[in-house]
Amino acid sequence: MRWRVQDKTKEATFLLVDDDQISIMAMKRALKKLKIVNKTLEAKDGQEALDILRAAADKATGKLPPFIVTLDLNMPRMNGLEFLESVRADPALQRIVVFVFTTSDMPRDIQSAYSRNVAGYLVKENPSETFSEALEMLGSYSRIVELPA
Amino acid sequence: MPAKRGLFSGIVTRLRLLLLAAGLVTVAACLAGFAQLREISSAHAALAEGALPVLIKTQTLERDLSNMLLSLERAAVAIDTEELKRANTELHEKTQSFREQVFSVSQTPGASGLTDRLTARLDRLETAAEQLLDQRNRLFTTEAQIGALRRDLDTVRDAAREALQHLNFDITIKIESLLARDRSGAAPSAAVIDQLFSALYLTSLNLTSLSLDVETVIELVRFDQGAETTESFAQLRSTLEGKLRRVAALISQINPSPQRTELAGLTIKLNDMLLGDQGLVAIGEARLIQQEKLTALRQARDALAMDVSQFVEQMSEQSTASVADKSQRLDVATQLLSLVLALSLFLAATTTLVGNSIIIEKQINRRMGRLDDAVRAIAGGDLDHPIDVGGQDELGDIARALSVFKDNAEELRRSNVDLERFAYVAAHDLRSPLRAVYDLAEWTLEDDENALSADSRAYLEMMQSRAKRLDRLLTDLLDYARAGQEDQGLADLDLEQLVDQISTMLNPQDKFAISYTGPSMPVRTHATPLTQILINLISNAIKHHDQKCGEISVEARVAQGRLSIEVADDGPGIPQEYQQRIYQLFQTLRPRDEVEGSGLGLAIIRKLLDRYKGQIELESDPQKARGARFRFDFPIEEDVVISEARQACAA
Repeated sequence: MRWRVQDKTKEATFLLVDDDQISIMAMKRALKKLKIVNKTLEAKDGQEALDILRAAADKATGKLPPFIVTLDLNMPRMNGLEFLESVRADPALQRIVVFVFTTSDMPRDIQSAYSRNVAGYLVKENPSETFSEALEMLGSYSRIVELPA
Repeated sequence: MPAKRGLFSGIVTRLRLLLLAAGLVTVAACLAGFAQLREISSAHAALAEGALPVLIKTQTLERDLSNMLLSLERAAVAIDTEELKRANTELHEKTQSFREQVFSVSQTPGASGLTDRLTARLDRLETAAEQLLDQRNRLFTTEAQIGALRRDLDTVRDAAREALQHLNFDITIKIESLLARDRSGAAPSAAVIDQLFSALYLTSLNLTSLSLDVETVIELVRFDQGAETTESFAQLRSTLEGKLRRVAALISQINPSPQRTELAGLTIKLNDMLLGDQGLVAIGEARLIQQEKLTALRQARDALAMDVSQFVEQMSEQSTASVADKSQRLDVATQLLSLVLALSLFLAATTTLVGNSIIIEKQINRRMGRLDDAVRAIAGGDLDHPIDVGGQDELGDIARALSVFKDNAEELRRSNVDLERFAYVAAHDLRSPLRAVYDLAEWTLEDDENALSADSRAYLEMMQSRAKRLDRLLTDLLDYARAGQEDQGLADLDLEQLVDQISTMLNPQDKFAISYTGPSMPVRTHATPLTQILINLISNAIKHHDQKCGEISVEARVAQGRLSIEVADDGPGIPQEYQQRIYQLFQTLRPRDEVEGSGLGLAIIRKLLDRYKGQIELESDPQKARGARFRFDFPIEEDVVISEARQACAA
């Protein structure tokens, strides 16, 4: 049973959506520190992330491989909430797992995000510790939890 | 400055106009009503004082008139002087009474013309009555004369009869003696006897004829049949004259004797009695004339009586008509009064209804309602609510002022939203590069730990520390901007537990003794801001303490629907000269390098307490004693307080 879960989760791809290059670097460093070797993609805004997801879906016979998305909210072109809106409106993309990973701790933002079915809302609080703590949690999530196929 | 508006556009002016209109209608109605009442009163007075008494007097007049005429009639048919006298007295009385009535009627207005004419007629009537009675009296005298003459006539007739009988007897004796002389043959000769006999016989015939004539004459003058005329009297006179002449002739043929002389005297007397100036025929003629006069007078009297009667009738009609007229006026006035009252009622009702619907309902009530809705909605925060009240009056002014107020409020809200947005964006967008700076320093330290000099490492660490400080500053700034904006509403808060949690969070190593005294039951209040205030106060007490260990006490009391909390420490205290400045933004009393603080903690507390109408005061005087004591009050829900008080009592 366990190996099958691991088999499945290993396939999960990380998609880091953030317009701040250093934030992406920080996440990559954290992933690396935690020895998470999953495939990792980057997007600078919601639109780019959507394009990447749709391209991935087309390739694999209309079926989308498992994705774990970390999503910043405040971005140019298409912000995080708009991205969530588009993902939930697209039946092919509905089942991806999204963690909001942002500096905003505005209750309004949190509420908006949860109302769009995010898996978690993480505030980038203390630059180093929370960051890696959160990523560690994310990493274990990617290993343990069976992602919706 | 009051807006300039038209003369009738003010609400109060309109209401006054409405009241004025209603008042004017009422006054007009009252005036009309009074006029009608006066009319009624005058009509009633005219009826009671004028027409009715005249009518009553006229009726009395009619009755008196008929009484008078009755006594006049009685006087006219009186059979003797006594009765006539009595009737005359009565007539006088009645006439006097009638005159008085007429005079009384003449005193009432409008009847004088008639009564003057009536009085004139009455005078004439009275004269006529007097003449009538006089004539009547004379007639009585005449009749008495006639009676006396008749009696005399009877005496004369008796005397004539006696004389004639006597003569007849004489002649009879003479004839008897002649017849006896003849039978005895003593008669001188048959011729003489025949001559004597024929003379005697002739005389006897004459006597018979004489006797007949006298009787005839006597019978002729018994004329009192009531059918006499002037002509019949003339005829009677001539017949009598003829008869008497024959009687005289016959008497002259009688042999002279005392009887003949007597007869001749009687005849002369008879002639005088019948045909003389005071004779029966003359008196009869006089009586006839008197009777004719009487008839004429009676007719004149009747005519006059009728005249008077007509006048009285006319007056009666007039007064009846007057009564009817006055009654009519009374009726008309009463009807007019009813009409005026009904009209006034209608006008008053119309004025009230129209005024109510137009001025009060349409112009005031509805607009007031809309304005009220708008004010409530705007006060409740709905700035999009329309203010659809116009007009040039006070309500219009208020609506326009409200509109300006609404615009201001919208402007304020927009600028607040902008400010909030600015604070949020600033805090966020400043934090991201800041964290990047921190991370980069961190990564440099991690990756090139051995390649860096000690100085470089120290610089990087200082850079990280300043980045952290700036981050905290931004966090606090964000907190300050947000303070009081998000309220999760009322919740039950266990203060003891809360203080314990804060202690665990801020004082993980238990260096400070944080104690709590106060209600052990939860209080219902705005939990989020109260928690924030307590965290900030306790955190300040720890942060600014000048020793490693200390004591902090939290005391809570519930009084009059408010929670009063004191947070006291045994730190260095706050000098009095700074106590005014500590609530201002970014105010700290010690260098940031010594005590990490943004200078926003107390400013946030002040902002929250302003929002919840609370007060905070500080009790501290480092020159006298150590420590600072912050005291503030905060609103709580009433029923929980009561139930708590009860539980306290029960305990």
